[in-house]
Amino acid sequence: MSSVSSNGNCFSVDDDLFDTESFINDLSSMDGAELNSEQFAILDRLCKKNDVVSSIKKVYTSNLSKAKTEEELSHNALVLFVEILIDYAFYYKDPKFINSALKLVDRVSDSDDELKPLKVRIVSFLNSI
Amino acid sequence: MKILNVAVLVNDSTTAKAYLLYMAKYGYMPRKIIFLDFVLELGVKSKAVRLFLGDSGLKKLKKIKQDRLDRKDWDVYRSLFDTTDEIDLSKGLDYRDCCVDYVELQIENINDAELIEYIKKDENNLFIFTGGGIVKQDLLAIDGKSFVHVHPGIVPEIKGSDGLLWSLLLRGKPGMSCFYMDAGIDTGIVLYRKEYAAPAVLPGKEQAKSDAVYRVLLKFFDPRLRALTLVELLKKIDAEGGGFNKIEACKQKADGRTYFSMHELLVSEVVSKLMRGLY
Repeated sequence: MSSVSSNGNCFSVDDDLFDTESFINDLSSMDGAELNSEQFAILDRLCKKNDVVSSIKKVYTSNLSKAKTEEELSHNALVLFVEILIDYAFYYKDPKFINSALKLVDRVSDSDDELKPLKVRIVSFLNSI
Repeated sequence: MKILNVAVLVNDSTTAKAYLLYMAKYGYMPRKIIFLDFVLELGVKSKAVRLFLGDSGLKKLKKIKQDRLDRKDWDVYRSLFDTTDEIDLSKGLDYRDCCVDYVELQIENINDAELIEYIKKDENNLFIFTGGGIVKQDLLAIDGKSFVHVHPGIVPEIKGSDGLLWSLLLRGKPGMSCFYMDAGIDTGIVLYRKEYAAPAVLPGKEQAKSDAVYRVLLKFFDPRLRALTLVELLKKIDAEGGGFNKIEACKQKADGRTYFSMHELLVSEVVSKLMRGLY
């Protein structure tokens, strides 16, 4: 799979691999625009990695079925991912994305100042349901 | 009592009790119960107790503790929700009284080779799963055998964990689906689906603790609805005059989503809304 975002960027390192950080950066650069069905499905798959095995790796096979490295996403990428999940939770009114964001926030340092505004947005979402 | 040509895989739980007690209430009895006596995973303290009491003594002790906890939880449940017409699932049940043939297997887990071999040779072809872990393909793919499961969520929309709470959050009411298990998570061929009213909260319980409400809903409310769904399916089969294999079953569409365990903050929101009567 060579996944292509709506803005033309490639998510994959090559035809056989999926680069998670590139995908996250691409979604971040979309500024909350609507996801295409493939992007939505990939975001959903990453939620599964986060929620079930509590670990998101930097590189997966192209269909995301298997990690190709033991290296986890960087702290910055995780924070960016939380932000994206919150954005799309609001956009799609989707509690599943908020659920993943909550679990991710628990894993990223609690004392982190950069998470405070994100936590405020999560609470705002929870109050709206 | 109508004897059904099915075997129920029972691990001692309120879900298993609910299936058997509600089946009995509506005049059904399975031909066989296969009681799954899982080998205990022991911590340091339990290992020490086992030295004094032995395996059976330790199991009895754990059972007494579990029964006591279930009684306490049933009291909590009754204090929060209208339980008129509900069967008390905290009471002890002798599973031997709930079937024609009874067998106990001591196994490591639901995918144990001994269970697989037993089922291969068993005269029953249909097995009702009442829980006990994720079932692997080795068991599900046994030639000529089918496994029926009731999942707390309307499939394909709501598959996966914490189905009761996701159903309340996303659809405003609990839903149940009865299907043949396959290799996927809650993706099997559907036999029956039904949505129900949310549990009726007693007045003045808005401030009940979220974790306690969550625990008793999963222990008593969810098993009851699963059991009632199974009974509805049995009634439908009776009304149509055939067996399980005669009833119209439909393949799930590939859409819908799989949900995972709900974070405690989200659980708290769902419970709060439920207790305020907003579902």
